[in-house]
Amino acid sequence: MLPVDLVHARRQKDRLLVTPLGDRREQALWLAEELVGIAEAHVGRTREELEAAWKDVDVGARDVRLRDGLVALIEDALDLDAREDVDPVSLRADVFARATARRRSDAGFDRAAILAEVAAARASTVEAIEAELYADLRGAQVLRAPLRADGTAIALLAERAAAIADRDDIAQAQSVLLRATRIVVSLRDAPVLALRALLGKLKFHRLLFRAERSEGGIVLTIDGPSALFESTTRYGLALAIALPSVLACAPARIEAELRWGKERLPLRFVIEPPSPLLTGERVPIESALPDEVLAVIERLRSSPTLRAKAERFEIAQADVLLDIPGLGLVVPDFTLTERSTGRVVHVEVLGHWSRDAVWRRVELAERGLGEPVLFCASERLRVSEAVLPESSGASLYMYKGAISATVVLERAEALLVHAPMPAAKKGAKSRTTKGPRAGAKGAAKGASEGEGPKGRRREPG
Amino acid sequence: MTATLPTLRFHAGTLELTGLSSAVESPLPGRCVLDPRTASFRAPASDYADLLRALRDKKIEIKDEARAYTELAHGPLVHREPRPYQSEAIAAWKKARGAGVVVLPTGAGKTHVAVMAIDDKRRSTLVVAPTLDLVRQWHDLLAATFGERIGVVGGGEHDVQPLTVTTYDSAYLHLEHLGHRFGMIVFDECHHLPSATYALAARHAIAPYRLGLTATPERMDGRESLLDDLIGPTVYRRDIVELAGEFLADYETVHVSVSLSEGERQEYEAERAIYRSFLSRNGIRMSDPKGWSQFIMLSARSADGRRAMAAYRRQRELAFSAPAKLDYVERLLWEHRHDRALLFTQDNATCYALSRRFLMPAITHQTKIKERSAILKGLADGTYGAVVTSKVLNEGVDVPDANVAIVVSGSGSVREHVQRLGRILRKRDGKFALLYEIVTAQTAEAYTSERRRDHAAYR
Repeated sequence: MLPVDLVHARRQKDRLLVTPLGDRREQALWLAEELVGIAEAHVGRTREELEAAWKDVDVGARDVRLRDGLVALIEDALDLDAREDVDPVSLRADVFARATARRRSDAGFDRAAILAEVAAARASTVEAIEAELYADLRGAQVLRAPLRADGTAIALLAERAAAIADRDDIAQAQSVLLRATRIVVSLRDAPVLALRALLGKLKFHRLLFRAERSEGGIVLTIDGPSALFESTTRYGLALAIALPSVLACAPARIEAELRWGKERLPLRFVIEPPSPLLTGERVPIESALPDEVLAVIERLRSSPTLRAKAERFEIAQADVLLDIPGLGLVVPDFTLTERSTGRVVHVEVLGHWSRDAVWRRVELAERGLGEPVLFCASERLRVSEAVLPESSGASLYMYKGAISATVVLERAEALLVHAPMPAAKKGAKSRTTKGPRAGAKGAAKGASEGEGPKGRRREPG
Repeated sequence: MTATLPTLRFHAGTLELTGLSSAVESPLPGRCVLDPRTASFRAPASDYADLLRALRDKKIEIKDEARAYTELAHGPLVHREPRPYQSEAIAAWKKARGAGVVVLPTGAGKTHVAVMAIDDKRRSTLVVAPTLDLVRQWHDLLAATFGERIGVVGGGEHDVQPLTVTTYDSAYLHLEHLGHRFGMIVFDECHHLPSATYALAARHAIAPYRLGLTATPERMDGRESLLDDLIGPTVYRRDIVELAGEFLADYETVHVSVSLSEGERQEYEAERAIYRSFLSRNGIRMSDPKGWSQFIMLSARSADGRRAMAAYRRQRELAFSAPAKLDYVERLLWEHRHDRALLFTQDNATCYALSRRFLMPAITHQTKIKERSAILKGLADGTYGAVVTSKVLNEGVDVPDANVAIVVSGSGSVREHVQRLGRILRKRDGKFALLYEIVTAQTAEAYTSERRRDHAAYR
């Protein structure tokens, strides 16, 4: 990600416009090659010298930021290290202790004499001692040879610089979002699987969102919990990280509220057609169902002891969102569909990550989910199964250690009585958003991460 | 049945109140608002005590799942008789419901005030300090005083205990998750807290008891007024002049003015003219808060600008490191060769230049903790007679043996200058502290020096 201050952006009224490189690409390539050439000439020399040489590259006022951006990115790719053949800390301790003793003695302070004494004691020279005294400072770091003598690596580096010069549009937009306090995403006809994956990412990053239906789609307003009280960029990094997932849903428009620059000016950053970011193409989001969920699905499908009962159901990765307007969404992980009737029971695994998540599901279930859902959470979250009575149409399974496929099956059977027959679904209290069905077997793409990392991460703190 | 009661939970630095019927929604305190994203009521975590009081006043019973802090098993194992002003400070803090700022000069025993406050409330406590050095000092002090394992968050450690110490940076990062685990927070050097990011650390914590400690709450950006909201009002204040002699070491400040040689003067004026002319041509006013960033930006854009930046640096270097000034430093180091001296500079480059020239240890932000500790130990046991530093020793770090401070260069900040004086004022039998400030006459530095001495301690 580019440092924010090197994003090529300008203000237009209350909007922040990111400038694409466009016809200056050639200039950027030339500049990148020159900067890399300077690095090559400084192998074996110090960072201080290298940075000074880079600063001397004369570019017009318009390209100062471009130069600095390229320098930052090239510097990242270089290998600058402190000298390993010296121990400046012990050298300093020795030199300074001798200097103090000498200052207090009748001889008085004599810099040259002290350095000569240390040099003699270490079988070195005064010049070497001077050079080694602070050899561990950042400016004294030495540029190793990341560039091969045959020039291959130089070309690679130049290529990298050229790629940087292209200024990946997403990287620029992500850098801008580091200063975002909230983003509003308009989604039209977003595939449910992509939407599930996106919501999973948002939850994973502890972002909150409000999903509202609008004409022709859904509007997601994404921010963090304390955004209700003040505009804080506390969530900027999470918003930036979530951007690729947002783009994968092929949104129609993204608008971010920013606090920009030192003055933290409230600006808007809008991504809308014809931005190259909005290609209209939907990209599968690389995410996988957690291992413990896949393991349950696998046991339900192939365990010989369960076969008799499990055959009653078709087990598949969930492709629906249970949407309770004004209250929230439930994103099931997989479903059990009774083969004979088509009645469906959804299963969402909450793992042991968030007790809040369990309580939120309880609330949603109390308000009526419309379709039966089995929530599976770890016993470690200390929530009683009794908080969800059978009459609620949902069930809470607090598992100890690993999820038992047998219990899942039993609970699903019990919940079936609450499942509407397929034809009756239209009258359900909640709205069900459905997408193309995908089998769970080997289906890693497009799956939700659900509420947090579901048992694969420990609780922060 | 408890499940039917409204429930208060801590969530990502906020308080989430669920299960309230709409009939009682309106009377909640101002910052507790409906959050449509989660269909709950939400308030900043720092409103915990106010929210509980408001709910109690309205006789609304709730299940409190937000509070995850505990009471300490015992108070300090080591008891020290407090000084009169320390007892007064605690009394004033308790009167303010255990939420407020105590202003005491460096060396007056602010940490003991914190220990007294922790003992009084006996809640899980987080101490927030600005640097890892201070975190280490607090860790050692609390371990010795309470005889307990002390948690540390930051500097590569993440160990949360009923008594935990952390830095402001780590508090900003982690209180979003840990803000419900402490009933009391001590903000050491609390003038750091009102910055936009650090302030979130205070808002993300539910701790009803909050103690701010500082010698100088005033900030150049005026944001110290936020301390009222983040911690509480200033409940007690004593300045250096009130405590010097009896509770702090007696001291004297010596202002030394040195001159540039004829050649240096000419060079200084010539370089300054180049720099000033660039400012004037580009309409940059350095008195304007944006002046400096404008100069940085414009100077990078042209050869003229780069020359102006070089001129600015050179004239500054001539003022900050005038040969006559360095000669005087040499004289002082000789004069005080049997004392313990701290030398202060405005920037790291000058700090390292002095270290090289006078062969004395330097401490900057680049100095690793291990070496820093060894240097301070060396100063205490006499291995070294002087240590030069830029800004890292300005505050907090305990150097009780230091009795001479030499300000070679500095900013115009009154706080920085008072803090530097504070470093040598810790009371020792027969100790008399001396602060020298060496300024190059007829340069911009003379004006900077006037500004930073605008404090009772220098009158």
